[in-house]
Formats: sequence, structure tokens, C-alpha cells
Amino acid sequence: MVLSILGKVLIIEALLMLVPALVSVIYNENNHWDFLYPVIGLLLLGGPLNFLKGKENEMYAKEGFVTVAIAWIVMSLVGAVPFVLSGEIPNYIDAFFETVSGFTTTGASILNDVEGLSKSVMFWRLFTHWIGGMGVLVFVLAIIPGYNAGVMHVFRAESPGPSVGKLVSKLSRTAKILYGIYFIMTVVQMVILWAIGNPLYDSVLLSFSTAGTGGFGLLNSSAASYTSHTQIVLAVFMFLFGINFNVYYLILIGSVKKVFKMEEVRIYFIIVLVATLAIAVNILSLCADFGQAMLHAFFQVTSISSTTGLSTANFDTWPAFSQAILIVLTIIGACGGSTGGGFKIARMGILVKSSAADFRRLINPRVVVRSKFDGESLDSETVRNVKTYFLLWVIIVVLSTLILSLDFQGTSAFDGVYSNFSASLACIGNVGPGFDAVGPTMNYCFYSPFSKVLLSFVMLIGRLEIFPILILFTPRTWKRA
Amino acid sequence: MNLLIIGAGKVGSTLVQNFLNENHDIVVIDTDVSRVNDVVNRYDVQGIVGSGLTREVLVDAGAETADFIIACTPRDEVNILCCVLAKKLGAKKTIARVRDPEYFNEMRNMKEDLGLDFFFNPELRTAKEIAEVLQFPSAKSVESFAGGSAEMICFHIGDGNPLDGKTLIEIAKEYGCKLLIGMVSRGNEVFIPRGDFKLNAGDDVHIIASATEIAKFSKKVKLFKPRAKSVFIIGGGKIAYYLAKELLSTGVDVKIVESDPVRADELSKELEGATVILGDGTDHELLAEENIKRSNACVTLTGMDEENVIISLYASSKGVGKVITKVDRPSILEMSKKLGLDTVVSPRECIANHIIRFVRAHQADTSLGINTLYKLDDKVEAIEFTASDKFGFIGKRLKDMQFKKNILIGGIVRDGKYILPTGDSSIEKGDKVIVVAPARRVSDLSEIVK
Repeated sequence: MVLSILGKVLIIEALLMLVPALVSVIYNENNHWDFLYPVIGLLLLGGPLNFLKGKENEMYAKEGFVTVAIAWIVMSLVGAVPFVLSGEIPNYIDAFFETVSGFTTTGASILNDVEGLSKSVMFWRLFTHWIGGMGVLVFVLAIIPGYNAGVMHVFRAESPGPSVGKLVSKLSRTAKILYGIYFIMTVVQMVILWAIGNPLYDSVLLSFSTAGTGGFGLLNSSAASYTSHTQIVLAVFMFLFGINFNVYYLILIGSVKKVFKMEEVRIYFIIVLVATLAIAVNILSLCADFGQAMLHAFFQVTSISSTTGLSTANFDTWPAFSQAILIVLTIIGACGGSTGGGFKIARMGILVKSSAADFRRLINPRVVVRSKFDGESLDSETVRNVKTYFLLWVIIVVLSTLILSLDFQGTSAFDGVYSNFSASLACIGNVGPGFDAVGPTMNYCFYSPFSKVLLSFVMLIGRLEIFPILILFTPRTWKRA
Repeated sequence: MNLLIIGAGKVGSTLVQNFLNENHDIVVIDTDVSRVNDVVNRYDVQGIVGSGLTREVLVDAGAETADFIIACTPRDEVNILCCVLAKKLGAKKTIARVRDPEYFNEMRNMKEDLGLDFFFNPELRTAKEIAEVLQFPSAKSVESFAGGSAEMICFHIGDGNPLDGKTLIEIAKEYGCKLLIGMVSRGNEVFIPRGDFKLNAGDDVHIIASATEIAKFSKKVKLFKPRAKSVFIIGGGKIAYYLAKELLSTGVDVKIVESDPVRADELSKELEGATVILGDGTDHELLAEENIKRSNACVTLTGMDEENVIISLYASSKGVGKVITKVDRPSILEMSKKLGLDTVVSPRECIANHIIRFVRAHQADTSLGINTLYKLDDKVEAIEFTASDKFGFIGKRLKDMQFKKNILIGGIVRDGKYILPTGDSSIEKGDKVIVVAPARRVSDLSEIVK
């Protein structure tokens, strides 16, 4: 079962890789074979796997996690091949980093000059964001019938958020609804971008980048040189893609009332609003007028909150307070059930509320309190899960910062630690740009190959929400007894 | 179809499993978080934690557009109220489990006022099923098709039986009966036999025909046993009560062993004509004293599956002609099949099948035309279809059709009469067609043809 799902994922990737090959043909770039070779490889590998019948057909939680982890790693390993074959990212480790960054919708790049890429390679680079935004496995489950028992585990492992539920009773239909919403919103964004005067190619690619909340740019200046109209459209869509997709489903079926009941979405709105205003006031002196300050603040806040990572301004030069807000936003991240990453607002909310309840118990030791989130009282298992998640998350950030500090020293010790810390945060949160050495105008190319692989896994850990990758590398998973 | 199941207990989860095989959309409601999680993790359904008595939960679960609401929580009152509420919200059909005999009797009168479409009583159904088997004591199980016009009866072929070692063609020639052998289970496997299939001792054969024809045949091949005249029931629960009532009404002697004095007293009050013995059913001296050897049949209905199995094995060893064992827990049910027990009944499976039949028969989308479905080990099914105009081979002779592999026409029922299918038979509009096929291969009559 694990292998045959993997086979199907590889076949889907092969089909998706045909698209950049087509782009290559359209623009006469003569590098379509750079895509077609890996396509053939994927089909040769995936085809037989697809038909493989495993001895054990059952799918439990462990198998679900392992399938997701393996699928994402293999997809990234193969997805990196076109970059190397085309010679545009000759080093395989660099290409792997770039692909992982793409699929995990991080947007951290090792390229100094993105404008030098050919159109087809650039297309593949941004297409990975769009593919990774919603995930591939759930897509596989959506279009292939016949999986019943245990597939929920795969769905849970790949979808972001502390509690993953179905919109409708059938998993496949739930997945179809979610992909439908994703697809339609992306197309709407493309059309709007195109209608306000952007070239078609740019509109399509920018939409991929924002829909997956990825953040790869087409230009070295990220989003800074676009017109303010384009920037507003981008910011609004980054914001929209950071919202739990259940909202759009509820709007579609006409239960707008329920949308307002969703605590996570309410908090997201408030966070974005407050952060935008605070930063706008803080950076007023750096900007021409309040309008420009608002635009910069809004763009950066939505970009970081939704964990996209596009930028219109070099926020590395902003005052400390603004930077501190952006760091906080990087940590919190977007809503569960969106294409965004980060720690997730719902988790943060649960953590804060349950801690507040624990604190109450210190004051009134006999008090009975039941903390609620989203109008439902939290059971102790959910709270325990979120606390474990938080602890692991902190440990990974700390470890990653420690290991990176062996590699990159910076201009001063503080500078090095700060850069490494923000790089770790930006990678686990799938944001992309951090601060200082990895700031919005910089990139990750100066890290050693080892650090790049490390950061690649941190990105995967962030995208798949820690457990799948950790379980994959836990020896106990592979023991028979 | 949209199904809403309230209560994810034994019956609830069995229903989920069976309905999922038919690709329905299912939402399950239960107040217990762990039960909901369990169902959601195992099956592709939506689970909601909450009470089916609250409007909000029902609306969330889609009661307004549900085709069927099935309430099977442990409490009768809750089940009835859930259904009333759901009906008010717009659910098309409601089904409630009502097991208290007092309620159950009044339900017939209140059904319409409450807007209930169907209510079921697992204990009563199980009792009826046991009573059916006691009518045909040599059978392991009895299934009716087309409203009783055709039966499918399972016989066990023992050592020295005249059928041992014969092929189906030889049997047809020798006995010349109008019947058909539809399934044969041997060990862990289930076969859909062809003419050259050879029967062995130890096989369980499922014979499809009219009841009289089967009785004639069973006499000829020494499988016939007369209807049980005296029945020994061990355990005096609800099933025992219903069973005893049913048996007494047909003039069968009934002896019930019950260990609880209060319950024994109740039973003796309510069941006139039955002998109620106060004592422990596992006490072999008591069984000997009450002369279990002399009774035609023994039914073990205590609350403990293990006790039932052990008492049944003991009764068989004492030479009781027919032994029926009640086993409820799925895990023990699987294991007990390997013990060589005579007939095993499971209230849970019995009621699940009963509900599935009701849902099938009342589907809004009747184009499928499935009436009855009987499953054997989840490997082979016998399905009864009603032939409609949509079936493209109306009036054609069977030998002119290209059937798919492993598909058997088990019988055709026209105007309440069973017709043994031959190459020259044809399927006419309105006929009930019994199809034997591997599990989940056929869901529409036209799927039997290539």
C-alpha cells in the first residue's frame, strides 16, 4: 500500500513535469529534454511500484506518516533533476535545496540571480510552490478511488493544522472540494493580475507563488518593482491563501454565520490588522507618506503571516520594533487548513488558552476550568498534542541554530547567531526570507552543502508538521517487534 | 445516498462497514470521543461528537438532507426522539432501535404519530432467525428470497453422506430435483460451483430452491431432520423471551434455564406453558437432571459468549440434534467458526443485515433494484434483483447471454413461483432474479453480462 501510493505520486509528478516541458517548447528554449528525461525516469520507477501489491494492505497511523515523509523526500530528490540537467543550478545539493524550498512553499533560494533562469526552469521552480501548497498525496487520494480504510491517516499527516477534519463524509470528495477551491482561487488571481496589466507569464507564475504561499520571486528585487496595484492584489491574495480553506467551503454552501464563529480566522484578521497598523506607524519616517507606509506594512505583514515570503521593501533596514513584530509573525504563521506554514494560529491559541487555565489553577487550586477554542471545550489529548508539538518545534529550531552556527559565523558572533536563528525560523515556518544574512534581499547560497541539506529537512519538517519526518528517522519505526 | 447513523456502538459500526461497501455517504454521531475517533480512523466517514438529540449537532451532520437516519444508541427513548427531531428537520426516512418489549409493542400504534418509518428490535430479529433455523434443524442457516418464494438453505455434508464425492451434474441426474447449489464453503474458501464441481465431506453447501423442493431433496439425501419439538434454552434474556414466545405459539415444548431468581420469576409469569428452571446453565449435573439429551434442540443465549460456546460443545457431545450458539463479540465470532459449532447466530450481524435490507428496499434511487443481499464470509454474495426495462436482455434466453466469470443465476422468481434457471430460461420484466457472485462485483443486474 505504501509503495503503490508512492508509485502513484511519482506518476503524478511525471505528469506535472510535462507542463514545464511544454513551456520550454512554447518559448522555443530547446531544453525540454531536461524535463523529459526525469519524466521517463519517474514513469519507469513509478509504473511498476503502482502495480506492486504489498503483503500488508492495512494503513495505520505509522504507515500514513511514513508514506507522506517518503513521498515528499522522493519527490524533491527527483524534482531537483531538471535544475541540474539544464545547468542552471549545476550543483545537485543546491538544486535539492531549491526544490525542497519550492515544494514546502518556503521560498528560500540559493540563487543570486533569478532573472538569469530560462523561462521553463523558472516555471518549474514556481510550479513546485503550487504543487506543494496543497500537497500531492491528498490529490492522489482524491482522484484514485478504492482506498478506504486508513487513508485518513495520510490526509492528517499531510494537511496542516492541529485538528484535521473532513468537510463532507467522503474523503475523496473533501479533497476534491479543497483542490477545487485552490484551483479556482489561483485562476482568479491570474486573471486579475493579467487584467491590471501584467504579462500573462508573470501573472501565472506570481499566482503560483502566492497560492502555495511559497515566495519565490521572478525578479531579483522580489515584488518591489511591481506597480502598487499589483502589490495590493498580491498582498490580498497572500492574505486569502493564509485563511483556513474551510471558510471558503462554508461561504460556498452559504453558512457565512459559521465563518464568524471560527476563532482561528478571527484571530488571524486581528493579528494582520494590528501588525499592519503598528508597523505602518513605526516605519512612517522611512516612507514618503502614510499610504506608502501602509502598503509596505500590509504587504510585509500578509507575506510573513501567510508564510509566503515575497517582499516589497528591505525590512532588514526597518526599526527593531517592526522586525520584532515580523519575527513573531514568522513564528505564529497562518491558519491551519490553509496553504500557509508556521506554528499555526490554532495551535498557538490552544497553547495560550490551556496555559492560562493552568495559571488559574495556581491562584485557585481547586478551580474547575475548561478552556474552549472555537466554541468547543478542549480535551486533554488535544492540549497534550499541541504542547508536545510546541516543545519539538522549539527543540528543532534550537538544534538547527546550533548546528548552523558551526558553519556560518557572520561579521560578528551576534550577527552570525541572529542570521542562523532567523534562517532556522524562516525554514521551519516555510516563510523563506529571514533577517540579516538571509534577509529579503539576500539568499542562502553561502551556507555549506551540509547546512543546506539540514535546512532542507527543517523545511520538510515544517511543511509536514514535524511528526512524519521524525517518525521516518526513528529506528523504532522500522523494528519488526 | 446520505446516511446518518446515531450511535457508534456494535450495531452502528457494523452498519458503517456494510454501507461503505456500497459507497454511501455516511455521517456518524456519538457522544463518546474515542468511539467516534475509532470509526473515523477505520472507515471513510465523517464523525461528529455530540448528542443526536440536539438540533445543532443534527444540522451539522446534515440531517436536513439525509436519506436515512438510523438511531442505534443503547437507549430506546433517545433513539425515538432522535428520529422525531430528524424527521422534523427534513430527513427522508428514519429508523430507530427499540428493544424494550413494552415500548416495542406500543410502537406499532405510535409509529405514524412519531414519524418513524421503521423500528427494529435486535433481540426479536435474532429470536425470529433462530426460530427459522429450528424449523429446518438440519440446516446451518436459512435465508429467504422474494418474500419467501425461494429459500437458500445451508447444509453441512457429514461423513458418509450420499452427496460426498459427487459432482453437481451427477447429483442433478440422480435426484432430479428442481434446485441449485449456489455456494460451497470449504475450509476458509467459498466457491461458486460449476457443473463439474465435486462435493466433499466437510463442505457447507448452499442450496437455492423453493422450500418444499428443498424439504423433498433433504429427505432423499438423508439430510432431513424433523422440526424440533422440544427446545432447551440456556440463559433467559430478551432473546430467550421472544424465542420462547415464538416457539410456544407453534406448539413447541420450551425449557429455559436462568440463574437470576428475579428474572426466572418474571419469565415464568410472562411465558405461560414454558418450564423455567432456576439454576446455572454451565452446571452439567443440572443439564443432565433436566435431561438435555432428550430435547431436540439446544439454544445457548447467556450474556457470555464463552459460556455459550462451551455449553454448546457440551450439548453436541451429549447428542443433542440441533445446537444454536449466540455469539456477539466479533473477535469471538471469528474464532468460534473454527470450532465446528453447528449454527452460530450473532444479533449484531443479524440486525445489521436486517437494516441493510430495509434501506435497500426503500432507496430513493430504486434503479439498482436490489432487494435482498446475503453475504457469506464477505467473499460471495447472493443478491436478489428486480429486473426492470433498464436490463438490456429482457426476454433473451440465458444461453444466448455472455455471463461474466464466476457469475451464477441462482434462480428466477416469477409470480411468486421459483423457476430453476436453465439455458432456455429467460428473464422477463418484473422477475426477481437471484444472482450469486463474488463479493462487491455486482451492484446492478446489467453488470452480470459481459
